Amino acid sequence: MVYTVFYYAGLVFTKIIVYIVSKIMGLKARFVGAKEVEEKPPAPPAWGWFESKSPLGYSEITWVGKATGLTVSLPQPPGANPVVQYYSGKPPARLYFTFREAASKEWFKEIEELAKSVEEGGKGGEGGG
Amino acid sequence: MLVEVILEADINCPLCSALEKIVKRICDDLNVPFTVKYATHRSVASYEETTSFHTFSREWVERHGLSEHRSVLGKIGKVLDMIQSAGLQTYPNLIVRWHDGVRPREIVIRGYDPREAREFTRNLATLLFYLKKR
Repeated sequence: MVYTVFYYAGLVFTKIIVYIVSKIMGLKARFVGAKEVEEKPPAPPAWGWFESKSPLGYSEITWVGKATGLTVSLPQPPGANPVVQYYSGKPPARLYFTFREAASKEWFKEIEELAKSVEEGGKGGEGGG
Repeated sequence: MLVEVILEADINCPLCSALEKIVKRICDDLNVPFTVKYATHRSVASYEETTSFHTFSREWVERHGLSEHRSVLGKIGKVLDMIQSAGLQTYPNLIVRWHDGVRPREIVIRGYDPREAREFTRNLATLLFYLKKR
């Protein structure tokens, strides 16, 4: 019984003190004015996916690991790479020869003729041989 | 000029290994990069573009083939379709690739016959020497 009285008395006393202190703090903030807290810029992320550039200057996506600092660079998908875009519509000009043609004495003449026919034909693609 | 030589080969192909020795010697003499690509349909890099299939498909003949090829396409069309569906490939394919400043260019030589190896060696060495010096 006695202890319960002490308990509730202490509780009420504590609440009163907390109320008074909070009121004083509120009045202080109201009249004195709250200090403007400068917002610090968030620290750059130390791990995750980053956009980076390869030594040749092409954009890449780099993964930096959290625990081990593992770094893996992946090239951008083909659509985003200007070099791949340039070559995607232009396959290498190919000339096909059989081994017998390649072993004959007139092979170089055939190469010249086929190369001419491919260039004049304007196909810009492969030539048959 | 940037020149490289690629041999598309199969591991179990004796002609491929014979051709590899010849080409490797020429490339070593002329200081030309030489690589062997095992481009079977079971290889890891099977998604890469290979020349093994090109001339044996109906689409290729219709698009790039000579007029002589197109004229006989009606007869050999079924055979070409069978080759494509069965996944048959020809080896070896020797690819001489160079870049002339505008676009990559390639010469593909299919097959190998030991009886004409001497003439072929002379021609290939001449070609690589010319491309290297150009």
